Amino acid sequence: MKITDFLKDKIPYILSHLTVILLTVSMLVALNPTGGVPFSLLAGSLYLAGALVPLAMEFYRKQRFYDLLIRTYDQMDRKNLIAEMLRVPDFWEGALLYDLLRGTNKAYLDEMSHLKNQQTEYREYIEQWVHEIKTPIAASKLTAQNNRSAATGRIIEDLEAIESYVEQALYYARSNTVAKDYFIKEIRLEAPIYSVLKQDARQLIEAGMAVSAEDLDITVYTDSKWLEFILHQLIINSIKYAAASDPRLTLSAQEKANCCLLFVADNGLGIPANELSRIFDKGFSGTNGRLRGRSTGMGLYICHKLCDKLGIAISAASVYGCGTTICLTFPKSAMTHIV
Amino acid sequence: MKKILIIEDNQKIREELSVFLSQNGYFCEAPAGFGNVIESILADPPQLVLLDINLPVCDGYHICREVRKQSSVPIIVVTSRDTELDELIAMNLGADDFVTKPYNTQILLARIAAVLKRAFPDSANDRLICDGFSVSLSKSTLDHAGRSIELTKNELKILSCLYERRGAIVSRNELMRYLWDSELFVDDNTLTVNMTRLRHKLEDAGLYQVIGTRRGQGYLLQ
Repeated sequence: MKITDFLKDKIPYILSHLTVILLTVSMLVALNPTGGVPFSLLAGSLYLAGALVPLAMEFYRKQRFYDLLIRTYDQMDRKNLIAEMLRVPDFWEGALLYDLLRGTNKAYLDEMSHLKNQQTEYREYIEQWVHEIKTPIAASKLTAQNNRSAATGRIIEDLEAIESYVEQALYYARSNTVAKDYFIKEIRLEAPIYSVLKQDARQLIEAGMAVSAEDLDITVYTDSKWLEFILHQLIINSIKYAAASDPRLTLSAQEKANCCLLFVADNGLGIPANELSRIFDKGFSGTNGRLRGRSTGMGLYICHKLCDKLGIAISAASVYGCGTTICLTFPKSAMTHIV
Repeated sequence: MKKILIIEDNQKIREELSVFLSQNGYFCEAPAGFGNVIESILADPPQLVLLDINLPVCDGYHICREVRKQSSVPIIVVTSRDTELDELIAMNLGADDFVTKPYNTQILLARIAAVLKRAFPDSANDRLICDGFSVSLSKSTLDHAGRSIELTKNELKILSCLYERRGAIVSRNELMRYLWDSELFVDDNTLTVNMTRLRHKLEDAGLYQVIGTRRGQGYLLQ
């Protein structure tokens, strides 16, 4: 709080006092008391001092309170909790502000927890629903598999697509809540990769994709189920936007001093340079998505969110018409060695 | 024949799984009541238990724990809950493996085979007997007329896949899926090369026309 700001606020007070002092002094001078002009000025100064002292005290109190308020506010991470950080000020205006701040804060927290509960409930429902729907999907798949024909073959394909979308919904719900339901542990990078490649084997074979997975014997710290989901999305994308002839998918990893890089590279359609920065945005489908007409713009968006939660950096590089490489960067700090 | 006990509360899955596993050479039992699952497992132990987690009466974790107290029968937990934590709980309770719904049936078969192989190492069927020759799975050799020819992993797998479905056409894609191993990803070219080599080996052994080709459809073991 600057003194000029404070004084600006007090202009009427200052003006009225100055006027009164001027008038008093001039009246005294006109009356010509025994002390003469110096006495009149002395009386005026006394009056002035009397008017200034409370002003100075007020400034000091307010400055102390508001400076602390502003400083705390600037340093705070969650600004809505500012009222919790204050001492009750010793002047009325401040106390009023303090009470109101606390009141708003409480109302805000109530609303927050209400929304949080709602979100948790919704997520729990989605989670439950996903588990429930998996049973009829599993049953249908088995029935189709037990009665092999061209028709059931096609039904199985669609059931697998449904399965993949259902899984996506589950992870979308998970990515949106603050609850921590992943489980970071030490894993060998190749384990989830091989598992996903096996899961997606049918689609990869049908797409005629030549797959190679090399140099993956690296230890990372992450949740393997979540990583499998992310990799599945990336592989499905590579299949969706595969090259017409000789499609290839290459998974490789590199160990650096403080991180570990996993590359998922294909030689497919690629992404135009001007779209590259937006592929992780929600609902962005891009030129390829529109051309192939099957993009929802959700896959990479969810991948990005999950990566954020797991502390993995995800980035994309692409040459349009020549292929795309997605890079996942796993952190490897001194901390992870202690775990 | 190995007996598999299916503990699953969804009737359709129970039935279809029984059919599916029976087709793949297992003897299945799938009780519809869940009152005394633990007792029936202990009284007449199967070679393997496929155990669902969400069950009426008492959940799969409980069954798993109680059975483990007295028996080491192989247990594969099958569930629609798929977090790391569920897997960890299942493993800690003594399950041998953990498969999530909706399972990929090929993966389920592979897991069952792997668990059975671990639990009963000697009883594994080691020899494929074909018309005029036999194949040793453990030694990976082709034995014919007193001669033994070494087979690579892929060649052995091609032969066992065709053997399992002998008399029927197996498409190239199906063969590729069968070969698609955890660390070896087969594409069209690899399959062609392996198939050609295998045929050469068979011909070297004096076996001609063992693997027939149906153009546009696949292969077939006579």
